[in-house]
Amino acid sequence: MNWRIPALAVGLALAPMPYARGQQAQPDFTQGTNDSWNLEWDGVSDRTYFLQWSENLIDWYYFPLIESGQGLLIAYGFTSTGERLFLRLRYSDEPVSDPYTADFDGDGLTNWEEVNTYMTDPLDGDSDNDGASDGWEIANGFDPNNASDATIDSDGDGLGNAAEYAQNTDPNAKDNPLLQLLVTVD
Amino acid sequence: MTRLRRVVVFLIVYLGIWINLVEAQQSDEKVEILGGISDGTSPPPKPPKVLPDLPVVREISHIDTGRLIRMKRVEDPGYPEPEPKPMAQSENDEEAFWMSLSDERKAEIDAINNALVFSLSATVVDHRATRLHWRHNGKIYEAWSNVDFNHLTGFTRFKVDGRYYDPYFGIGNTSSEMEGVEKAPDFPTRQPTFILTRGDAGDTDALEGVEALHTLYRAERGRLKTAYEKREMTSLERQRYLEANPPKPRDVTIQFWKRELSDKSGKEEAP
Repeated sequence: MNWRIPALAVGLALAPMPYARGQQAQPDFTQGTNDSWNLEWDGVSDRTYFLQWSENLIDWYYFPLIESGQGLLIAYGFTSTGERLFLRLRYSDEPVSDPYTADFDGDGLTNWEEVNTYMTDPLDGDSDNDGASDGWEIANGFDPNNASDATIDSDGDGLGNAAEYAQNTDPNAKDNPLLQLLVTVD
Repeated sequence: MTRLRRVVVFLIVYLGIWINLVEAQQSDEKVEILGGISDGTSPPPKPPKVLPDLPVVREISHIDTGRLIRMKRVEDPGYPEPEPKPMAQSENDEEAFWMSLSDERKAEIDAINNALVFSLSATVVDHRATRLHWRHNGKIYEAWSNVDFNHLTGFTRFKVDGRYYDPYFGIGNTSSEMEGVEKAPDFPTRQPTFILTRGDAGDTDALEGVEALHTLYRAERGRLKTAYEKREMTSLERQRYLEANPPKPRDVTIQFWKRELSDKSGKEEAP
């Protein structure tokens, strides 16, 4: 993986930092007209951008958008019914021909599926940190944004779902090797 | 012996009269709390924001922790850029600028120019006395006050004899029964006052903020105490209400659009 995750909290005083492949200048977050807000940033060539928002600086959500830097300014406008709006820019320098169909975190979901359909993190293969990858959770009917399903034993074979993922077994079939062994001995 | 006792009694009486005279003089000072005192009453809830009705390109929504989040990509409404604020170029411009200000704004600027911003830390002991600690020009000052400094919260600015004061203090509460907590001294009067225990008593600049707070308290003790008690009661009631009725997170809708810049916009990449 070649992506980097510098967190540029818009509106906060963070100094530009040196990055492995060129720098990313601080985005401009300014008040617009008609109760709107404007965000502008330099789109560095071959860099893929994701944008997040938050109301409390704790819970961050992705906008359903992906931008490719082309050496030009990228600009967005916003209005919100929320009390507050914080924005954060994240990016990857992984070279790709199509950032929408690419899978930066290798979890089996495309970047676009992550930010537009499943609301998962395209730069973290395990968005809820429960030990199972987002793609595997989706494929097996679990919630990739809810860690509580990791300990559930969906098929009743003695293995929790995260353990099934770790052992590459089917979480919806009684295929616990240990259980099979016991059955054989009996 | 009897004569000596008379002299002592006379001195004590004289001292009492002198303290009362000083307090009476001080209470003549014009004191005002600006912006009112908070009694803990929450402001009425803001009406829900209504977003402009813009043509939607794409919309997604999902439920997160019990609230509905809607993300709407809309067409660029082409809002104009905000007008840059004019800057004063000369003294004439400055005068014109000053004349253009509202009376309220002039008063605000006047307050900034004639304000003392000061900070101190206050530890209230048994709700009866307060240990004060502050710095002035790098020197440490400490004092005991017979005022419960909890009462001196709930407002941001006050005025004494035309001078504005913006106090900032961290406040804590403790009990004299706790180990290591200093005991408050006996105060010479029950009127709001303080006893300096560290620092230069002759440095009037260093004492100005604390003096002003006591002047304020002498004049507004009743209102400040009542407002504090109301805040405490309201806070307790609010806490009980929230325990019984946990707030539901508010739904949120965000509209966003790619802005078309005239000369150097990025290329749209949506699939």
